[in-house]
Amino acid sequence: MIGTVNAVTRRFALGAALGFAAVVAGSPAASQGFTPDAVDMAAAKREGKLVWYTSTPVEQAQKIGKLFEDATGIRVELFRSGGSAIVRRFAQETDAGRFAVDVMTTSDPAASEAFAKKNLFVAFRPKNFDKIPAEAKHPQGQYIAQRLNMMVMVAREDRVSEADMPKAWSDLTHPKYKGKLVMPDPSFTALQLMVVGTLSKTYGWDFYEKLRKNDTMIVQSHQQVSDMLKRGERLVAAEAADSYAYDDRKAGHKMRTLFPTDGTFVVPSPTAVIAKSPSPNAAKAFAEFMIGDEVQKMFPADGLYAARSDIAPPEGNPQLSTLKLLAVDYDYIEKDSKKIKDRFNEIFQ
Amino acid sequence: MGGAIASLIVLVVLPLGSLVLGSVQSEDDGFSAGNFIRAMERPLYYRALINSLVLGAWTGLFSLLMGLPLAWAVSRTNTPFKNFIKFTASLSYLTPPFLTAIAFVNLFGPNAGLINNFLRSAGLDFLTFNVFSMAGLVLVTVLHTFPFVYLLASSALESVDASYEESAQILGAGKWRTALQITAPLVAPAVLSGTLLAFVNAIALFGSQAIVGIPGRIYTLPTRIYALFDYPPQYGLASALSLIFVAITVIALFLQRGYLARRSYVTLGGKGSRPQLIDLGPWRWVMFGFAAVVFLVAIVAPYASLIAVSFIKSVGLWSWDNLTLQHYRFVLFQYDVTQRAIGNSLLLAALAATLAVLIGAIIGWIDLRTRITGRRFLDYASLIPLGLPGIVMAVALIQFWLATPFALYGTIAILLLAYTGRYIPLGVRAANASLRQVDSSLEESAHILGASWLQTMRHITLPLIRPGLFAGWLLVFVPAIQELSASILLFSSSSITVAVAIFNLYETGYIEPVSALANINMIIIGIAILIAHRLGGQRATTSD
Repeated sequence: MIGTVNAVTRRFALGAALGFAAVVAGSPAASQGFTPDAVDMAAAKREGKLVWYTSTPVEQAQKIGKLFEDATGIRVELFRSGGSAIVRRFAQETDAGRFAVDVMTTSDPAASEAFAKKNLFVAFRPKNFDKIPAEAKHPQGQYIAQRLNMMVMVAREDRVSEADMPKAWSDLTHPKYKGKLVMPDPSFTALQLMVVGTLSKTYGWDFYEKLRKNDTMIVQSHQQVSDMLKRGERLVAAEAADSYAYDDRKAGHKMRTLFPTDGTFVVPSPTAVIAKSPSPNAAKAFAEFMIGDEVQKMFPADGLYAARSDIAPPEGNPQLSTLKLLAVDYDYIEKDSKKIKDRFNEIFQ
Repeated sequence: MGGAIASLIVLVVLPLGSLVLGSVQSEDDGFSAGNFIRAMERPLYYRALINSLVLGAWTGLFSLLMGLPLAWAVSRTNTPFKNFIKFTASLSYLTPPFLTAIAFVNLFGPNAGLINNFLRSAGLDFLTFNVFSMAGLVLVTVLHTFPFVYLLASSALESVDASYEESAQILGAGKWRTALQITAPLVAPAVLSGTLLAFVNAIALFGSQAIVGIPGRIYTLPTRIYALFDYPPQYGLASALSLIFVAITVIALFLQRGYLARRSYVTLGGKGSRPQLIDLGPWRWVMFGFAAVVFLVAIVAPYASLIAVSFIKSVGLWSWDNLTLQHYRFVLFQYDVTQRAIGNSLLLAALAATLAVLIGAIIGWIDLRTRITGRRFLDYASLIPLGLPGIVMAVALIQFWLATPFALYGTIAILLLAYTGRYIPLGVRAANASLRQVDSSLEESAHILGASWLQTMRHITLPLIRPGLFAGWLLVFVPAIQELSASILLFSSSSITVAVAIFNLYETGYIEPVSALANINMIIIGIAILIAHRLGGQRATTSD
């Protein structure tokens, strides 16, 4: 852990705890005490359909929906957007008294915790709940991580020399990166909000002022970050999701993931069953399916880290225990999200 | 009749009222000007206002510089291929500006744009252009707004009574002097009014401002208002910014109507005598060349780039082996959203067009055929939406319906309300124009012969004004099917439209499928217009 961040509350020290959770999950004694909540499959099938709001990358979201449909015959209606956009839509609909969504997956643990406190989610602990590390789920199961996101730096191997590869987040402020950097906007992407919220505390807003001086391009999503790198519009992602780089590498692009020496962020993507959901049983069936073997094993095959600690990382990617990880103070980010976004936008406007 | 009035109140007056109310409400339920003060104090907000004004001003100027010469060439000179110029203007107007924006990112991304790369490889670095800039934003916008100037200017140029010009020439003025001293002052009001319309439309376009502006760090009023709906949403501030936005639009439109009113005496002569065409000599080919450049930049380049990107496996990997249909397969058959979105867009546009024209017909009829007190007010109220940019309409509807017990937000109904409300002015104008051409004596005769009001409307009035109403229907249908500015705040997963689906996919960065979907969208718009033409059997122009 980096010294300046306090690993106070339970959910913070994801990295340290993940190692611990792996041990726990591996020992049979731990799962003995756990009885999963049941899903009424007959009722779920009668409902026949569910609406899923998600920030899961489109390709994987489509696949998960399809897998579930094939397995159960229940149709998944998908709404896919950035994590912050999903949260915005959900909050707006809740304010309007409209409950049209059954399951929501974002990458915003801070907002998820806030929604859980308002009892907008159903407490539900399905099968395999015990295999999710405690830091990536609500203790009563109001939300459960679907996958883990590795927030890193990415560079074009073919255009950035070995010596110029940034090693740490703090290297990015060097003038040699002027005009070469790109990163997403925390107003749109919840994952970036976690990173900005933490790095602005660790290094001060001065860090972002310097990135501004380096003429960092701001785009809306991580997919756009990868897009700008692929085109060669920019050469280094000053914040990126490793999974997109993994995809791009598979497609033949020369992308290198750089795990910062001052710490990688591991941010879970919480999935929740919505209270007042129109198809409550189908929603539970889907939430259970999400942490079932089929979906969880699909993630590493697609370059993403599964939420369950009994599933290995994507091929060629490091074990979490071998990386230096940075902790995120979700309570602080939940409380100050508006200030963080405003400050960021003021610097980068 | 009461229905039309009631719908106007529900669609326009009440949402606008709650917008005003929302803007002065502070967090502790008291009233204050706090939201306006914050909007004017924080650079985050006032810079957006300045950017919007700058964008509008440049766009207005360049719309004028592009639209006026083209209009003059078509209506007053012997420039060849006039139909080609008309076609260019129509298609530029029909192309959704957010698609032009996406295409120009493909072409002129500062370091990786296709044209920029080509220029660099040819050693012409100084010609490269960064689309993520105010200049880029103006360029993308102008390609959509210059037809406003073009259309108003060409109709004015065609309706100037040629006898004025002839008199001038008899008195010894040369052709050029006549053009400058007689024709120019006569058409100036229409041209200025077209420029102001271009200004008003330019600053309201959400899509292009988000696609080109945000990466260039140029926030404008629509994108800033959109950002205020981030969780946790700041309704009060969004309302205050919206009202400032309305004020700018209304001032511009007020000036525009003023200019347009001054035009009236020009047209007194009607179209009796055809104006004579100026022989440009070899210069007519220069004029044509100008039109060809506009065609190349506004039509060929964007469509070519969208088509090219839609067939390539992954941008950046350009080679013939990488051609694929997979993106079309993905958006049409695998991406769950597309089919729903196409259905929604067609349904919404058709319904909104029908409603807007129907309400417009009734309001027009009340205004022209009755002596009901307050009918002038009705006419004015029906024009209010002109002053409401799409995103403001959305903010107003959200404010209003959130305060009612009806859970309308997120349904397709709230989108229908937004579209109908936005396009009522077009319906009213179409109905007004057609009703003026039908003499009221026909209706009176039917009355005398004992027909009820309903019978008269059904058998006499409506059949007579049908062609005009149909033109109005198409005038609403076309912008409605590509509406983005209001939809972006109002859609939900079930009520998503094609424009939102495209924007959404772009926002998340899937440029290849986005291009495929964009092309499908244009095909749908094209087919819809063709069918509508067939059914209506009446040609309609694309704008006022």
